[in-house]
Amino acid sequence: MNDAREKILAGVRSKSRPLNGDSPPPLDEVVVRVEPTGASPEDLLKRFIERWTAVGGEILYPADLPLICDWIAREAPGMVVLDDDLPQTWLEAIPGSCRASLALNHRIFAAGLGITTVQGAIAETGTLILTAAHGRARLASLAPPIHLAVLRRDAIVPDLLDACGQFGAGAATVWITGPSKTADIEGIIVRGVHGPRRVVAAIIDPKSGG
Amino acid sequence: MEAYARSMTEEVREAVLQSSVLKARSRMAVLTRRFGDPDPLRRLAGEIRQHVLDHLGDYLTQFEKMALGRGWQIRWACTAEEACALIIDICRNHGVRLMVKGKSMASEEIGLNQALEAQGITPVETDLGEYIVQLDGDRPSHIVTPVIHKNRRQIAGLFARNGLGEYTEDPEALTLQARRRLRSCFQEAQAGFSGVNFAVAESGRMVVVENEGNNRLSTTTPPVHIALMGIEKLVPTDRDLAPFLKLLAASATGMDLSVYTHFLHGPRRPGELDGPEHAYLILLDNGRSDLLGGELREILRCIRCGACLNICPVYRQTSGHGYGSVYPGPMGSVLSPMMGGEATLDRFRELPKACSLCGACAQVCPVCIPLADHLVRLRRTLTQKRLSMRGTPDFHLWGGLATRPGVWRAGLRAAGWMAAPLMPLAVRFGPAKGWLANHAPPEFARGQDSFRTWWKKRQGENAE
Repeated sequence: MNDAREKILAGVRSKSRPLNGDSPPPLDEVVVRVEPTGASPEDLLKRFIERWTAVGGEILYPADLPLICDWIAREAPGMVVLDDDLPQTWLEAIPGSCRASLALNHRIFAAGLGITTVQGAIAETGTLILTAAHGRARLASLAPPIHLAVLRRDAIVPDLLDACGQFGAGAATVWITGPSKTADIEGIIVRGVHGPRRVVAAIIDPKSGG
Repeated sequence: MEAYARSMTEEVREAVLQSSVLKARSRMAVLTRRFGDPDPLRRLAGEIRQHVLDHLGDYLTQFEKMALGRGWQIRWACTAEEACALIIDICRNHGVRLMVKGKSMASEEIGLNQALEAQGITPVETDLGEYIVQLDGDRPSHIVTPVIHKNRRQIAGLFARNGLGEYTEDPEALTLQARRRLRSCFQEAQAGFSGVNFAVAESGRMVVVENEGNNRLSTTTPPVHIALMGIEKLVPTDRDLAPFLKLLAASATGMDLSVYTHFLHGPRRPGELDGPEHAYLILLDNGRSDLLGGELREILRCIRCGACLNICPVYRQTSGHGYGSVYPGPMGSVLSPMMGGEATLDRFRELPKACSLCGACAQVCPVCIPLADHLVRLRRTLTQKRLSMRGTPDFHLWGGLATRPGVWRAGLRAAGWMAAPLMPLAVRFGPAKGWLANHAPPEFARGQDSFRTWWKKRQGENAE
């Protein structure tokens, strides 16, 4: 099928120009950025919480392990799958939890709650940045009906332009902006089509050792 | 097209109209709330896409190099048939019997499902709308909301007939039924398929956006991932994604950002437990390279948001099915006739004419494609190729008259005398019959001055 490659490229080259050092139109930051720059960490946190809630996300803040355990006992019955990034103490503290990396697919699909860390968040749109590397964050954040994402308070970036510079080395990065949604039936919004119907951002303060 | 529009039930017409009007409104609300004036952003996005198209040869090779470095296996397809053959070949090599599919217009374009089924491979559409379409043996009528033409009662009946659960008209319960049915498919499928929204030349990264999570599942659990992408979908740098992701979400669904923006970097790395072991990318031409540099070149900027469909008065009245093509609405009327040489041009010759040239599509387009201009250019091409004349009265006689002043004047005088006695015949026969069925015939006063004679006389009087 190399023939097809040569044929397509020859056709494309005959109708396009070589770059010759030509660069794309510069991104006019004034046009692309909608948020005021230079926001303090407190502002970013406030803005993130506001937008994340607006897209249907839930917040636990300030969160620590005991608070999260309480929340799970109240809200999330069933098996809990835990991503590798979370310390052993969590596994011991959360009843009915197991490592996602040791579970087979069907166990993760059957779990009631998936807990993963997220590498950051975007204040502008209320978005979590999940960079999958080791472990099973991709499936644990997706298959169970509830996803609890552990976010460090200092990992929030102002907007999409900043976030487009941090993708990590794993095979996939996912930006999560609220619970799974569809409006395919008569335009009525239904949550939890294929992904989780509830997504909780548990925001921890790294300084207090959460 | 007209025949289809007439055959639509009131229910369908209402559903299409309501939904498209609503979408067009929410798009505008989001864009103006966030950007005040969205036009500078649209212009910038249009310029970036055009820059890529103007230098597509270099960007494609740059992208190919980076994507290969990330472990993607890349295949090139000149035509729809070639693309299907490549995908079938990959499926055979990996023993694929069941394939879960994310929503992809390119897949509709190449007729992938039919091709797979003919080879005994079962494709399952997993986007809720596409799933409903597939279950019903129907076709999508919108590029973003495929079942815009179906209401909940029809979907409820369909699900109950297919044993998904008890009959219910509650959208939430219906969604849950589909979720349950599809979960087992995600776990059993040997391959996942997805389209691609954007690909970045400098990094070889691919971006898939969605709201449901089915694309994520399709690219997380099965051991093989096959992505299909038109060769035009590139942006130069990672940072360039920012304006496009905002514009796509706002224009397609009236959201600030889609629920899931998925950046795919190839097969799983050593030590990773999720994601495909083999990741393939099919780069599809299918008429695209012919459009480059031509008078319709801007259509290749299209990011498939559907905003031009939602705003189009013709789309709102006919729904996507009226177009008879995979891509409906204004962008479809430009693209569809151009995707397969002369035969396609002939087959879709009606589409460029199904337009009032109101220009609303060009005003909402997030990448500033001059859609109405393109439709006029296509009409000219069709006329030059003598394709547009079929089924319409021949205007050559008219042209001959109108370009010869002497003949024209004589003709006018004769027509003045003949019109009155001929009119009752015209109502019953000839090309004017259809028009006259809905219009009162004009009155002709025999023996009076024609406008030209009257005007000349008047000029003479004024001069005196």
